[in-house]
Amino acid sequence: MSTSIKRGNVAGWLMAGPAFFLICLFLILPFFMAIWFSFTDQRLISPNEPEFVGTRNYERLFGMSLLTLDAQTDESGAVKMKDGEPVYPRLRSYTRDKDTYPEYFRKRQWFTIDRSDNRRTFVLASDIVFLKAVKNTLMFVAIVAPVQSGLALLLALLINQKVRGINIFRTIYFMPVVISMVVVSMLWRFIYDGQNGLLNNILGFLSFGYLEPVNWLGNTATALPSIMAMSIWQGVGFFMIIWLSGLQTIPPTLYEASRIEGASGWQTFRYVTWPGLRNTAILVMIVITMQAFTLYPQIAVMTSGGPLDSTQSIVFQMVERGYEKQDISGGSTISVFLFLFVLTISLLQGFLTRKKS
Amino acid sequence: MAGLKLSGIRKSFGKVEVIKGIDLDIEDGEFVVFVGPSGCGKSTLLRLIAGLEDITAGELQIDGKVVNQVEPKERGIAMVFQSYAIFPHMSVRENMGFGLTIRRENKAQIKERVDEAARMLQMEDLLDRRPDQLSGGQRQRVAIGRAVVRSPDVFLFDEPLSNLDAALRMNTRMEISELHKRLGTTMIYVTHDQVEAMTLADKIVVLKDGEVQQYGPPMDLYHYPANRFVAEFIGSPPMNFLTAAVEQQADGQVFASADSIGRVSLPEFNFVKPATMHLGLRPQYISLGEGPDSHHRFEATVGVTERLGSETLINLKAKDGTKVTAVLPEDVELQADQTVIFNFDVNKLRVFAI
Repeated sequence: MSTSIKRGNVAGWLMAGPAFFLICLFLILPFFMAIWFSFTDQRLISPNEPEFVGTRNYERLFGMSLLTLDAQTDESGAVKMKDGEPVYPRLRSYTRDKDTYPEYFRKRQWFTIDRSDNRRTFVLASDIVFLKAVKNTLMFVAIVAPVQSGLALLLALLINQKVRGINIFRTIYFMPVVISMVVVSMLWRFIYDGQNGLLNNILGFLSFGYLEPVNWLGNTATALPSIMAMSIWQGVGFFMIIWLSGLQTIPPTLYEASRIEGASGWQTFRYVTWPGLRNTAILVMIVITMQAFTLYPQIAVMTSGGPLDSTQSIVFQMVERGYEKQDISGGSTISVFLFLFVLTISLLQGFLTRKKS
Repeated sequence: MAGLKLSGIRKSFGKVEVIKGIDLDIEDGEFVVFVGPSGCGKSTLLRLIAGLEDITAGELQIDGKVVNQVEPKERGIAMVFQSYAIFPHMSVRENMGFGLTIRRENKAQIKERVDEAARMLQMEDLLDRRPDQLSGGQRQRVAIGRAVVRSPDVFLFDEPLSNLDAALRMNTRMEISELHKRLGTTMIYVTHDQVEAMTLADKIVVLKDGEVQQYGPPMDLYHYPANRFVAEFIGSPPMNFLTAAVEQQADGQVFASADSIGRVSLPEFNFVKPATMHLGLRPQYISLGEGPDSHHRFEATVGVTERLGSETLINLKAKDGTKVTAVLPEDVELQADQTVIFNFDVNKLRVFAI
């Protein structure tokens, strides 16, 4: 008896072995290597041995300082003005002077805050591109997660009906999910084209030429929203199917009971459908958030982070540092940050949606 | 309070006709049970009354008004489902007050009515629990409570006891019966269990294949079943059926000759012409021995004996091999394969066309 169990275990391990080995090699090992690299100056190709550098990579990413300056005055003590704006001393005199101002050295202006009495606070950061990537990614998550999940729920409610040919609609809505994001991004580049793009043509046609063509991906104001819209369109079908599976677990008699009690459509949704979707909602929220944080292929194919860094994303920066700039330690640092950040948010979501007894 | 009138009600799902023209008059305050085997259309008929399904043809009146096109909530009905259909995320109190809450009644009044219903159903201690903390019987009580709170004109029950165990089923059955006595509201109850039908109903509707087989008080159906189907369905164990040739003698007396039990006179039978028919005899009417002279006697071989405690079921084999079941007193002792004489009152025989 005991031998058969033992033998069974050996056979089991042999069968699980290859997969287990591959998972270790390509998931678990790189995970720990990335954490280690983020504390070294490891480069992709380099003749020098990597060295331990402590938290220097993190300091470079997040290094920020505040510098408050008084506006320049002329001899009479009046504030110098240029184009209706007070004139401030040149930042370069602070950020390039390592000996006098080591805390500002090599930092660049991220944004400024005007104070009263002609003072201005300059927010300086050592890695502005990264901070922009973080901001853009957060914006992307904050808009895509709720809009995509809401839209997906709406579609799921629409196609959860016993109507002839409903499967055609299900298929149509699900189709973009099957197409690779890279392909979708290529196609949408044509749609968003500034000259003869489909979107500009349609808008021009519908408005009888009133709307001027917009260079959707070439404009800092429209580039990120355009990518958001496309991403929502591409992924909405997947979450629609998840919502749909949640909807179909709600027993039909609950709907019948609420109908007999006289509930309106909205009341039925509020008292029967939505509570029944609780667990699905948690799943959808967490998965959408995590997915949105890893925004990458759209950026790589459509804008490469531009124009003027308006579409930089965390993962895009990660890849660019690690492979384009061959700075593996820098890329690793970003990936560790992303991991901790997403983990925190997921734990927070889990905590906020926990079952209260 | 309201009576119902069903005239020529039909229901088809696609090409399949499930309800094939039903006419019924249900009086105000009556407890009516729809009974029949699964697939007979009894639940569909109830759902048509509730308004959960559209009526294909015919007319449904509740309290004198045609309600074919009326929404369920406007029909003055409340329904209790087999699966309870309690909202899992609401407390018992919220469940019971649901109908009032969505009608935006004021809170004090909701509380009062829920408390009153809870007191009536003796479930005040359950009010603050959640459905997952309740047993099956308690859940069904909540569902009944929710119906009571609506104070409907008609209660509809769709196999409410089917998910409960035997002991609980009996208790809840009695509670429903008491509820009916106390409220005096019209109740329509669907079941496949003839015991429930017999015990609860003022009137039973026996359905088969979407048609009414018989409609009447339970004991009428028991004693005078309209056809072989009703005879077999009502009563336990089921009625015995014996094939016999029915004929009339020159002196006007009607007789049935069966290979199984011999020649029996049928004093009450309304003879039309000689025919082969089925004689129906309830197992309860068969007694051991020769009995009074007016009784008919027959010989049979004893088969399996089943003791239920209060009574004993004996499976018999008549002369020609026809199987007959007899219900005998509790302590009767019969040997297997023994041939014994039994008797029954000929007036208890029922005759059915084949």
